[in-house]
Amino acid sequence: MKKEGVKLIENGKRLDGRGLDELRPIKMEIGVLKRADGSAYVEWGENKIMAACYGPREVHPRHVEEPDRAIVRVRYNMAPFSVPDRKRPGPDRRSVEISKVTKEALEPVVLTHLFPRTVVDIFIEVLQANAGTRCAGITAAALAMADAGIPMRDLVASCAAGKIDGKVALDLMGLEDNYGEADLPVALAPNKKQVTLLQMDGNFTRAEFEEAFEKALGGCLKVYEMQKKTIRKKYEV
Amino acid sequence: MTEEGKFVTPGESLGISEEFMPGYGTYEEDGSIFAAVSGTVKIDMRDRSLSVAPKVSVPPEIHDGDIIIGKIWEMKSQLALVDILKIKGVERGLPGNVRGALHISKARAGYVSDLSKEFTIGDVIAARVVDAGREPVELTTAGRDLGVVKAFCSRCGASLEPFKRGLRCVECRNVEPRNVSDIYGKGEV
Repeated sequence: MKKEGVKLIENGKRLDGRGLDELRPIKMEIGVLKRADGSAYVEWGENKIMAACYGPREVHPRHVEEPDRAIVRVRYNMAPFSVPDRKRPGPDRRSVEISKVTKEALEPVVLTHLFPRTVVDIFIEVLQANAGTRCAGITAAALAMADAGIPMRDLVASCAAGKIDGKVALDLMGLEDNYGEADLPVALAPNKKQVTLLQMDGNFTRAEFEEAFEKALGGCLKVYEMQKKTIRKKYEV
Repeated sequence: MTEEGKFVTPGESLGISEEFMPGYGTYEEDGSIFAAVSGTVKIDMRDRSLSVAPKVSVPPEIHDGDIIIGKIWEMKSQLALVDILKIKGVERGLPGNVRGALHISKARAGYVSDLSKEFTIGDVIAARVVDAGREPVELTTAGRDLGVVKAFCSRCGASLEPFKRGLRCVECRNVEPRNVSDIYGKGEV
């Protein structure tokens, strides 16, 4: 992961002018798709992500349904044009993993027992990627679920922290992710204070890990406030 | 405690369980009541319940008096079993498979001696919900707009058209007795 020769922090500022505790600019929109039961669009720095939610609806294939609760299915997919070199379309090892962890990040907040034998389907389409797409995807998917009126224990907000030039920084962008030393995506159910996703790429010392984790949680809370504002803006009065 | 009419999103705390009962759009956890959907808070001081009136579209629920569109999937001598496909006028699909039952006594306003002359397996019907609390949901087709809204010939499978008080096949002219709705073939769902 570590490549030499790129200076990522100069005079305490990062390459895009942010401080170490600053998020990229985030824009959220909700209810953007007519045909889906719920949808959301998130622009997170250079990331552009569309999420759609369907259900609860009948499960196909039948054998995966649960007699006492709803299941949650997630498909994370990247558009071929989402990255500088064309991404070969279709699921690959990375997107299958992200689909799995996203599902596990969202399922704990859904009140699944209310809808036995059904499924909540979530589709996350990455239109443009620049590091941190799983966090942006989870954030967008939670908004899409709220838009679909699916009963939830809490929203889910997600944000990452990483290590660049030996320093812990919030929300790495593409360049920092490529040349940095570590990345730590976190998803949080803010009112429950429950972490539903925690991954680590690269290496932190124990102290660095704790610092990065706290920073990421702080980022999640900022993202959560934006999510609330987005829902309120669309549906209040 | 939150005030009446406040806009809340999932996870926001509304009150405590000692004080209120959790109503629609809320849930109870660790002695507190939280919002489960986005909407405005409703406080009912008469039965001391907290609920959220959703502002977003929510998964539809079947209530007494709703008109539903369903498909007959099983016929018994006294009972027609119905797969409820949707609620009339509600675009969003139902959460999962909901089953309904139509008893011979509720097939028409008058007396029905033979239910097989009213419906056949595969008929798409419009029916009113009598009791949504039961499983399967209790239905009636007594009413002008209720009854078969689309059916196919039992001999050749072609479309049936209204003919006298029953239906006739557009291909083989086979006449079949049915409890036909006034909205038959109009595609009103």
